[in-house]
Amino acid sequence: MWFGTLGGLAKYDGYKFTNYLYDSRDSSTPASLAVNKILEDRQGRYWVATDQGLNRMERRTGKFTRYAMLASGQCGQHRTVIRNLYEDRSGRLWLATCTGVQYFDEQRNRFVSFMAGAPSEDCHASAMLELDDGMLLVGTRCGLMQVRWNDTSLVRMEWPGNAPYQINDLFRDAAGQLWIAASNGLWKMNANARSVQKMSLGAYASDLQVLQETPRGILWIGTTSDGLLQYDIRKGIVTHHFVYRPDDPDGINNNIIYSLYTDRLGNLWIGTYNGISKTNPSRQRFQLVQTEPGLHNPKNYIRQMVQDDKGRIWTNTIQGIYIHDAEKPAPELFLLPGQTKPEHLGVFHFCKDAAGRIWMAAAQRGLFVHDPLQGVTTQADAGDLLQTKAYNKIIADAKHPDRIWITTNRGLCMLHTKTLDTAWLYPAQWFPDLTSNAVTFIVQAPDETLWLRCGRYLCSFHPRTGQKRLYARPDNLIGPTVRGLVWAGEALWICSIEGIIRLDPASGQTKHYGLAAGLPRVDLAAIAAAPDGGIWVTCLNYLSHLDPATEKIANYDLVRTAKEFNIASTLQTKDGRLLFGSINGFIHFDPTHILKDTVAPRIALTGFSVLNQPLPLGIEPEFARQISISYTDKVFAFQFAGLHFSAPEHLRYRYKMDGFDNKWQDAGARREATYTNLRPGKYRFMADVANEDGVWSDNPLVVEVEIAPPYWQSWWFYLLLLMVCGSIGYAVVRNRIYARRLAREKELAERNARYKSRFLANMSHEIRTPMNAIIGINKLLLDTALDEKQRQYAQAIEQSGESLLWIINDILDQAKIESGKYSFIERPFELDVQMEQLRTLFLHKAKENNVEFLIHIEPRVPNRLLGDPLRLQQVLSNLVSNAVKFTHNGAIRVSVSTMEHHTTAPLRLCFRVEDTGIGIPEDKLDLIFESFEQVEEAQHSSFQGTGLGLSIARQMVVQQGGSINVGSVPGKGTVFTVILPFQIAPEQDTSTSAPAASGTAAMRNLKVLLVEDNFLNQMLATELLKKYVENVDVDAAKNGLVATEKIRQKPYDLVLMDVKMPVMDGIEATRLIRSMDAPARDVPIIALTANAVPEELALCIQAGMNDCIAKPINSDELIEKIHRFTPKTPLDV
Amino acid sequence: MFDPTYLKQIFGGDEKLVARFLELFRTEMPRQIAALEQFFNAGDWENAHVMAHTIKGQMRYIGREDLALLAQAMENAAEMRDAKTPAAHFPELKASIHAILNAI
Repeated sequence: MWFGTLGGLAKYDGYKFTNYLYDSRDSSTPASLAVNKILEDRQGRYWVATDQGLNRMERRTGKFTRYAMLASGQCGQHRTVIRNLYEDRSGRLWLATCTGVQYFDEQRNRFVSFMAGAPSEDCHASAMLELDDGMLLVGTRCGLMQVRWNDTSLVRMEWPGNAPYQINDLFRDAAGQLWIAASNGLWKMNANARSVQKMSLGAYASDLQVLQETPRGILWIGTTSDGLLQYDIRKGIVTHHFVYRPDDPDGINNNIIYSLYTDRLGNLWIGTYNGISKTNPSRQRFQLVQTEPGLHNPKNYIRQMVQDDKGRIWTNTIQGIYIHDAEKPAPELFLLPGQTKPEHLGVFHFCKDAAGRIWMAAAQRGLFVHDPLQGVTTQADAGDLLQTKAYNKIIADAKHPDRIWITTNRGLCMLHTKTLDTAWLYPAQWFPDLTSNAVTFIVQAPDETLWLRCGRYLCSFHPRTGQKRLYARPDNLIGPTVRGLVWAGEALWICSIEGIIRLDPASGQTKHYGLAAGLPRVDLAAIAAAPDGGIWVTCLNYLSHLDPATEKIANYDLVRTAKEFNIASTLQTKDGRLLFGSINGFIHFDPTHILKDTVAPRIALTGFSVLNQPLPLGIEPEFARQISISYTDKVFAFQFAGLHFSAPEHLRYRYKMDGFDNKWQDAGARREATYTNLRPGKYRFMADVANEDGVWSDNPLVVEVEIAPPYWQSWWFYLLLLMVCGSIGYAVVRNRIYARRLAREKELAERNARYKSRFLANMSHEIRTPMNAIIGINKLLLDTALDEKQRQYAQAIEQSGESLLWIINDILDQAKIESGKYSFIERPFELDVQMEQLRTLFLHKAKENNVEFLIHIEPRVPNRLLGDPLRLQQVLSNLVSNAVKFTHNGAIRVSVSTMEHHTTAPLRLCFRVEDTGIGIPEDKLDLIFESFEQVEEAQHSSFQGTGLGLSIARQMVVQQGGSINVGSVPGKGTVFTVILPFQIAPEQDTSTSAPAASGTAAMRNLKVLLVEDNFLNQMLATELLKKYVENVDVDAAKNGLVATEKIRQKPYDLVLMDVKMPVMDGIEATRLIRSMDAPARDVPIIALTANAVPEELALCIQAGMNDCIAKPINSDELIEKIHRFTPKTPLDV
Repeated sequence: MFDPTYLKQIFGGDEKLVARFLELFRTEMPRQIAALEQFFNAGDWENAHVMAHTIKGQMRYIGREDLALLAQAMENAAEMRDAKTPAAHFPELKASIHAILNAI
């Protein structure tokens, strides 16, 4: 909405004004502060008429272009004033100036001037209008003129009379009639005849300024000093006269009317000397009718109403009765007989009988009846009724034309309208609960039943049948608080000071509608039922509608018109309209056609701010469709407005930001949307507006918003980041591949080591078997009859075989030592036997080298010892064999001595092995105990052996808690000293009976579980056990699973466990057994394995086995181990 | 064909036990060889490995180290998921076993 004022051009969005002011330094501003007219041409351009010529405004930018106009040199200071603009049908823009009119030839950028006849006369054109035939009329101070094209002049038109007059406005109404506002009245023009006719405005002022029509058929006439006239074109009369009243903020603000404008909603904008007023005559849902204009007028205080057969509305005010006739400009005063002036009648009620007569009951004055046909009013009181005069209400009986009912404080009176006979009914006689006969409110149901309010009760009474019933509610809601009754939809509706109550007459059930149901207040004033069944109530300034079907309540605030409704003041007219009386007149409306605002509002952006500072957009905000800001603009806000001027305060807004919140945010009446900290990116801001009836705009406001990202969120930065990440990722992957290769190589190396161990184990096994054969056969040979020489050879074979076995065992031992899986046993043995074996082993070898081999045992060394004889034999053999190797003459002496004298503590024995060999250089002494070390290997090619012997010897000594030392003089000889701890074994009968294996005690009474899948192995092991263990009980299990079952069922003294078995192997079975409850888990388990490698042994021990026997089973080893792990076995007697 | 030395030694020269063992050997061995072949054909490497291992030990009982090596090769083959090696060795193994059984 644009306004031209003397103070500049103003843009209005319904809430605030934006001014476009003349600025002498800026040629893009209007040429003058005084703006007389704004015109939007058919191309949508805005032309502005100022006191300093014609301007055109660029709406997008708000910039103005000034046009230098043709100045005539006349008119003095008015020569540049353009009073009006007009666009004719060919698109010419006409300017009204002081000398006449000009049109702007835009193509040639020139003005074409049409002057009034007398050049000296300043005609001051003010209005222009093109007739259907193309004739352009011009209204001037000099009267009505028309444009003459052949000499570009203005010609005065014929006008009745000669009185001086001035034409201020020319107007074509919607029906095509031409109207002229002149200083001497309203004129209508016959375009064809070029004649004019003066229209009567009655007594109203005739100095007219401006004309406008809205809605169709209603002409609004702005006068130069006497306010605004509403003129009914059809009736040809002024229907309303609006003048400025200081006490009415809703009236016009000045009586000097400059301009009138109708917007698309039908709002009439009134420009006055004092500003702008606005009204919407076609959009008044609830039209107010006043007896006289003005506030606080007692004649507008409407108390009761009735409609006569002519359709006239009779109103009782607190200052007389007035009859409103739609055909007449003002209501007519009615005086009761005996009245001389309008006055307050006190308690009063109207009704109309079937004959159309108006009955009036005025308490303390009497009952009157008015016959409209004869225009006569007579008093109708008679008999006892005359004495009462305490009338409350009167109603005409719906079924009996001659009957009216009058409620009084004495009782209910039935009056015959023709005879004026009365019949009295006394409710207190019907119901003992009633203490008084007073009846106040009355309403008649369609079935003739009368509903009456009697004191605290409601009662129903059927006049024909005499049926009566009393109704009450404990909370008194339907008794003393009643302010009106109405019948609708088979129910009685009660207007109470506690809300609306619906009473179902059949059941007596009530339903209450109060604040919770949606009423704004409950102290209701009046109630009425609409033809559609809707219930309407008033309350203070509110009008409320209850839909009985949906029970929904709609409220209308009429504080601006009705101000405050009066109690029990309502009327339903014949045409279905409802009337409610108020202190400011009465409002009337069609309840079935509540005027809805169906016009969709428009919405526009009115501003955009960043951090609460308006951001210059370069163009007017309403044209902004795209806004770009930076990520640093953390807080920004959109301002918008619904361009819907009928009731901006009732507009509702919503908005959303696509890309951030995709749902509409209800903003209520707020016209601003603020966003903070949005991520950089593209968004779409949308805002929408709804009018007071909820109609949303057809085109929501859409603004594309782009928030520029910081450099670290821009695409090229991401690309860079991607490249860096890619490089790092590549490096990581390469590193991974390298690490994986390393792991694979490590795994390979470990597997190779495993293969080596397995190879060694296999090889030693492969060698041991034939060696055993050699030694075994040699033993057979020794058993035959041999001469001394042959025996010695055979014994040498035996010894060589044994030493070869040593080598192999060395390798196995070394492997065991390396893996830390070497174990020692403790059993009784005889030292002399061991030393004798040593002699047997090396005597022959020593003789071959011409070396004496001597063994000496100190006499006080105990012979029976407890320890590991095999390991002792192994250590000494290694040392002696070493001595034999490097001694070629002289002697090898082995001596055993003891270092202690007591015999209880561990006994430390000292074994010395002396030779007279080549000796060891001092610098090599430290190396000889290292694996695979032989001194001066190349020089002494005759040296034999693995080079492991001394290393193994030392490991064994150290692990048994002993020590080994060497002393040597090169060329003289070497001395090894071994100190080992031993326990002293108790003396024993040597005649141990068979079948004990060597070095072991006899065993008996054992329960053994043999876990072995192979039948042959089972048989072998079983027979072995039977052979060497007395009274052995062997159970066989074919796999680990069966074994665990058996162990659960029965206790065993020992388990012999094959390692490799189907279903469940020995390792797994052992783990299971070890996880069982005691005593099953504590059973000794000895593995039987064909793979005698440390890894396998380790696996067995880890799984929880006690020891391991290599297959094929050696009977000695088997017996020895059984003996070791079954300590409870008693020694044989 | 076979060497009872080990058996004699382990049974302490008890001829009856040796004879019983050999009798068992004669009935058991063909079954085991057939099972071994079946495991290999079925690709049941786990059971083939156990069975070859068992046969290896039994060949040693009767002093046939050459056949034990053959069985060892099969044991390794089972571990390596290799079906070719056993296929090549089966005829020799079966022929030798056949000869041994006849000799018992």
